[in-house]
Amino acid sequence: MNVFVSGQYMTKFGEHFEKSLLDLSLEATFGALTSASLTKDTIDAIVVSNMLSDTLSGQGHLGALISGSLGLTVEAFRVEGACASGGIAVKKAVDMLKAGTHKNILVLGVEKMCDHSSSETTQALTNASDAEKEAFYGITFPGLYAMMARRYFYEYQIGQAELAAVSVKNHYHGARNKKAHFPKEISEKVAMTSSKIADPLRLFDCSPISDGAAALVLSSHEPQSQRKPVRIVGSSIATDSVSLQERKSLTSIKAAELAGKRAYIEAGISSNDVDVAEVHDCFTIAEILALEDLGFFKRGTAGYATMQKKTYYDQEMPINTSGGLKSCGHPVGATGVKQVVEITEQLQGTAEGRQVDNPQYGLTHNVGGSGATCAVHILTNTL
Amino acid sequence: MKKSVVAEWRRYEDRYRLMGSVCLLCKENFFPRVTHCVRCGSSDVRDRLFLREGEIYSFSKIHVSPEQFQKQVPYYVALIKLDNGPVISSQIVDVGSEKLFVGMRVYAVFRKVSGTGEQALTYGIKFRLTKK
Repeated sequence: MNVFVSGQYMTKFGEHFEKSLLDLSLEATFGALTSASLTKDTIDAIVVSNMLSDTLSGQGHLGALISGSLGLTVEAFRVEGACASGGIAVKKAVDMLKAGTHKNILVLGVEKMCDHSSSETTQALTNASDAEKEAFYGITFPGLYAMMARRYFYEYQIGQAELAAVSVKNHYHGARNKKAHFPKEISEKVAMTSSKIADPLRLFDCSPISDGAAALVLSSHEPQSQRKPVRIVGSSIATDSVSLQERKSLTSIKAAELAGKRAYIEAGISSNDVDVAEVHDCFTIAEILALEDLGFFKRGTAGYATMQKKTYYDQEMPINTSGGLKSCGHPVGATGVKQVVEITEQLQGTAEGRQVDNPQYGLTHNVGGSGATCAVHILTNTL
Repeated sequence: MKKSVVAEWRRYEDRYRLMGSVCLLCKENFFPRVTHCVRCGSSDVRDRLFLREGEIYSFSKIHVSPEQFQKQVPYYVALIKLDNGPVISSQIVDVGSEKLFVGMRVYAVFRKVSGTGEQALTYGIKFRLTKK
């Protein structure tokens, strides 16, 4: 059974003080429907991805909220897996299409984070860590990734310059994406002298707090639009312990390794066949781990490869052409869906200003928490 | 997260002294206490009090914190490998001008964790650097 991306859309990521959770949701939904040349009445199910609406907007029950706001009565529900919610939503829609019970599914990722002070939003995000083992002791989210970075420094002898190179590269890409939250290039000096958040991580090692939405229409039949058909040929989720203390290693994310391996097997390809990837750079160290967990670079070498500019869009292994979470922004529920939007556009050749040269296979890697959930998708424009 | 007195109370054994669990079948150690072995699935687990010494497995200095920890900023958090137990999460306190590193020796102390004013106070185990 084939699964096609019929349509895709993302709102601009950033501070949307004038728009509500629902406003962003509907903009993305109608954007994706227009892109698919489909009317809303052809949608037979809705999967919504969101992490924080209960905590920050006092709104649950998002499946029906979206369905009702579209005047539909279809099956609709929300999934949550912290920052991996989007990847989970895509996987659930893929599963439903493969089961043959639905034909056109709307996958909507949305997050409204900027209505609140950053300390309130940061507090809400802490829900993704282990409440009793980690948050209780004042260990923040950046603190968890900082401990992974510190351990990586210890095991592989890299330092802040390698981390900064990730941030500089993602801002270089984001500057070529008008939908990005921070579409600006930065220098290594700016990254390395920015304020300290959780040592060794500085402000420019951390993805921002953003509002935004992204939507896909996934279909079990070939789309009607004129663009190159793009299929999802690998779709996998793996999980591990929520707390860091129970992991065997801090310098790899087992859930990402497993999800990657399973997705490669399903797609019948290896990491060498991937031409472009969107990986979960919630913190700069997370991109380095991702590049090694997915098999793009050997253990301990991804930082050096980034310094050598190998992950720029016009080099050997283009990573995060959207600008990644760092520069494009990170409205958590939208991120995993947005990654598929970006890869679809790369595979259709419409990523203007940052287009990779004729890619055939693209991959998305969406992580929840400090690595407890990982969703990997593989897309292709080959038939 | 809203603090619940009941939720704090039921964890006092592992919050106030290093009480964890050991699986009698596969000998795996856990902290805090568990009802089933995460490794082999056995429910044949017993309480085990771990020794108070260990070493730093990884650490970070927190400069931006949630509201209830703001008075402590900056503070050190760490993963600590207990000498006869598992890796656990906590804070390193009373650090002066010393530079922390992976492998540094630490020992457990009892401290206030969070809470000011009208909030419920919580207490727990933190760690200090072992004097040479």
